[in-house]
Amino acid sequence: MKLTRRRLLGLATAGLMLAPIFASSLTEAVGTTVQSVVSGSITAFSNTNPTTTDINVSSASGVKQSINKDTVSVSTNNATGYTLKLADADTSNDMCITPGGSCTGVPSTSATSSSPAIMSGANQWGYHIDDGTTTWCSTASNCASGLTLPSTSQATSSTLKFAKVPLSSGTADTLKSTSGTASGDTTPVYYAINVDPTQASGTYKDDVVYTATVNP
Amino acid sequence: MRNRRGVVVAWIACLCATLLTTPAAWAADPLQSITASPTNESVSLSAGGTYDGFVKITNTGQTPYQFIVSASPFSVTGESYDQSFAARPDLIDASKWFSFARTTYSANPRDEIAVAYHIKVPTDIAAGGYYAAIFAEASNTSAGQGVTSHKRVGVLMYITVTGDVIKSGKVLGYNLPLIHTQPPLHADVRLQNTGNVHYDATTSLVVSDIFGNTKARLESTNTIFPKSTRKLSLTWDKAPSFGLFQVSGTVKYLDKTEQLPTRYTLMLSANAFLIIFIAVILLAAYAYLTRKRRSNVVRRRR
Repeated sequence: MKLTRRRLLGLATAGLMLAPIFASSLTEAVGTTVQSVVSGSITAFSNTNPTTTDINVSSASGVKQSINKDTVSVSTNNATGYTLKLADADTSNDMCITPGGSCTGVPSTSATSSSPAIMSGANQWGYHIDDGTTTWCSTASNCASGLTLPSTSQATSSTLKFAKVPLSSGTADTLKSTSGTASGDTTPVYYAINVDPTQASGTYKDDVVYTATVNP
Repeated sequence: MRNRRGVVVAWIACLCATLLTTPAAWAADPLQSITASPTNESVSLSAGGTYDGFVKITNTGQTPYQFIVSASPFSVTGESYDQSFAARPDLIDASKWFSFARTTYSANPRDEIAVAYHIKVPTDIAAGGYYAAIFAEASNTSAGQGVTSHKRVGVLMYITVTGDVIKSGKVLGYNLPLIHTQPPLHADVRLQNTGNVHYDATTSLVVSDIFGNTKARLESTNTIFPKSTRKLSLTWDKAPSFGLFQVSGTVKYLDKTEQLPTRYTLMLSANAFLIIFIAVILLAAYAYLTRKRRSNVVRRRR
């Protein structure tokens, strides 16, 4: 059979069409599955800021913003992964001089985790997620990764979006939900506070709870 | 002399081993770490029945802390099963059945503490599944200014109250995208629980090439809670960015095995699509030019 140009063209087209089939057959085949039963465990831990994420802020004029980062890590041998949630430790999410269920101080931003927003208003605080999967940014992803932390008393960020920490009595925000085992899987959580000169000086604090449970 | 040299070498070896191993092991531990085991527990009780059990809480960090234990309601919402630990008016709060002999413990690094709990099911509870979570929270004293974080780990508790328990459910659907524009390859299976108690479902998928050679086996065992639908996503993270695959599988649940239909998917990344698109254009252009040249030659001969 003569290898004419038309036949060559036909062969090339057929090759192109069949390429995915041959490409799939080149993928490495699976080996034998070995199975054993290991009792389940879940660990929540931190290597930095074991107690408090300090956020110092001051303003002589206008609204100033300070940002700092906390990191929580989770390990589990549960095959269906884990869920990490965040909520306030009590029924007030104000940052107060004496934290507690009915304290009032620097209120949280009104934005929620379902619609986080740029935090430009004075005298409020919130949290920001930027873990590569969930990124609360107005323009690009990983917008917090370039920050030099702690960022103290700067102009309010026009790219980082923030949400309020939900109350302990409400539904906690899901920071992450995975689908497999995890070893030291870290989630960075950024906290920011805005103040202007009208905010009374003092040491303002709030307690939050990270909850790690396996996925059923 | 040889003995003395041997003793010195052994001593140096011991010193090196101590210096190398002890700080390294210590440095590997996180500052504050709390571990719970098991991660979930199934208990079967009759109405009015009681149960005593324990969960193990381990201080896997470098610093001592106190931890507080508590029980919370546990439920899931939506097909993605978003977990909730808040009481719901439409569900019985099974966390109220739990009590603890102690709720506060001190844990030094590497301490393993068995936290005892007691369950007492009320006598007027209907048969079915009830759910709660036991939490252990490492407490922190607020210091400085800003946000003090507390770490909490949970053990999910599945309580079946025996009696007229209805176990029923079905596979609602199986979805495999026809084209994946990037890895991983993923397939969704939706399972419904129409009974009054949870059941476990094991979904197994086999990914093969067109010649039937197995490339990946994906398996996941998940709990389906009563009166809910769950969408399970199985993924093949190491799927190539180009190739044609067939996916078949089964779902084992409630003592039956349901066969999923065999479906095909084309892994075609943007880069692979671009290369194929350019190749097709070049082939078409080549075919057009060749044909035109040939028809010109034929015309000239005439």
